[in-house]
Amino acid sequence: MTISESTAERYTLHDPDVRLMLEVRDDSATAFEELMRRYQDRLVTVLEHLVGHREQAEDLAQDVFLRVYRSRKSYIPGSKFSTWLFTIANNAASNSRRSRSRRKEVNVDSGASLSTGAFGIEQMAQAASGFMPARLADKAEMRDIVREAIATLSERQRMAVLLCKFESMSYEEIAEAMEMTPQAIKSLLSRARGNLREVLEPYLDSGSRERLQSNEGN
Amino acid sequence: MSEPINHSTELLDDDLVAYLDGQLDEATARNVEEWLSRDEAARLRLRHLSKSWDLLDQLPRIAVDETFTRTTMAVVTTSVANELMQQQAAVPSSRRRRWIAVAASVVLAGLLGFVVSLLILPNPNEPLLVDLPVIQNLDQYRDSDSVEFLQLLKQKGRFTEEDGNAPE
Repeated sequence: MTISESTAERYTLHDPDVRLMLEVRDDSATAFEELMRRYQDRLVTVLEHLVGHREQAEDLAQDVFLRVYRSRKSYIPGSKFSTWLFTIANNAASNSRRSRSRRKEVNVDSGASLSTGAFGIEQMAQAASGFMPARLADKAEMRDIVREAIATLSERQRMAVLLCKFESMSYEEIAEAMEMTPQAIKSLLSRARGNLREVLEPYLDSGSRERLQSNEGN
Repeated sequence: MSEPINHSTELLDDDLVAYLDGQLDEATARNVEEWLSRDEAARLRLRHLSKSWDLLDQLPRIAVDETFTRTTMAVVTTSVANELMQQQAAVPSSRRRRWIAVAASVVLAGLLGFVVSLLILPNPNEPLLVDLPVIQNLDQYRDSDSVEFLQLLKQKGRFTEEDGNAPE
């Protein structure tokens, strides 16, 4: 995709991270470290919830930063820096998923949470079907429930949800990061949110939310 | 103006979710609001979508430690250093390849020139080859002392014969 000069100028003017990246392009290691510090938590957070493993998320994040540095010479600001970074992250995650599939590894998507979570898919299904008594979930349990709910989404749905929720990206920015159209993102997010609503519905009422909020207040 | 009430559930959810995310244009957002004001079920659906979305705030935000930063910088530095070393190691072999290519080009050009010269330039040995039967028997022809006799032999094609037989 060709990026016009005016587009590059606009992003350079409005996005300080783009300016930092331009310094990285000129081989400034300090600028690279600064960029990394600004984004490492955000990147690892999204990747951790995407792949379900902290260690794997950190490996992926390192791969992303390495790709950023390697592509510095060809960098032209055609979007916000964060959008560009998460485009690389999405590609790195997709490649990683493909190699995992080739190795026929299983359960990587939800492995960490499955191993530590108090709630499994079966319990959630029970809850959704009404067989599980409406109970008050404490904060840790609720976190596990939400993790499991996220794990039920497809990887693309999950990525779109995480970029929307954690990065507050617009549909257009998510579309750019995931190389899809904004309309496709709208549908993808709608389906994802529908799935989340179905899985989490038993926990929306019966006071669990109120209890959670009171726990957070304490 | 579109009527949201005629939307399929999927389209309805698309707009409801985009409405929650503030991603609808003004006119569509107004349509959705109008429809919500009339439809209790849609309001409930919206509430559930919104609440389930809020539950995602339970997911922890991760803060990596200094080790991650240092390790990542080390990974990047090592990788870039390796890349540079590979590039430097590749220089002699690429230079060698360039020399081989130049030498091959010179040999090829020479070969081509030779073939072209064979085709275009006259062969200096051609007249000698034509006169070979005469040259081979020159001493005998010289003894004849008669131009008429030699002309007679030429007319009979004797000088072009390759068997080299001398006149009887």
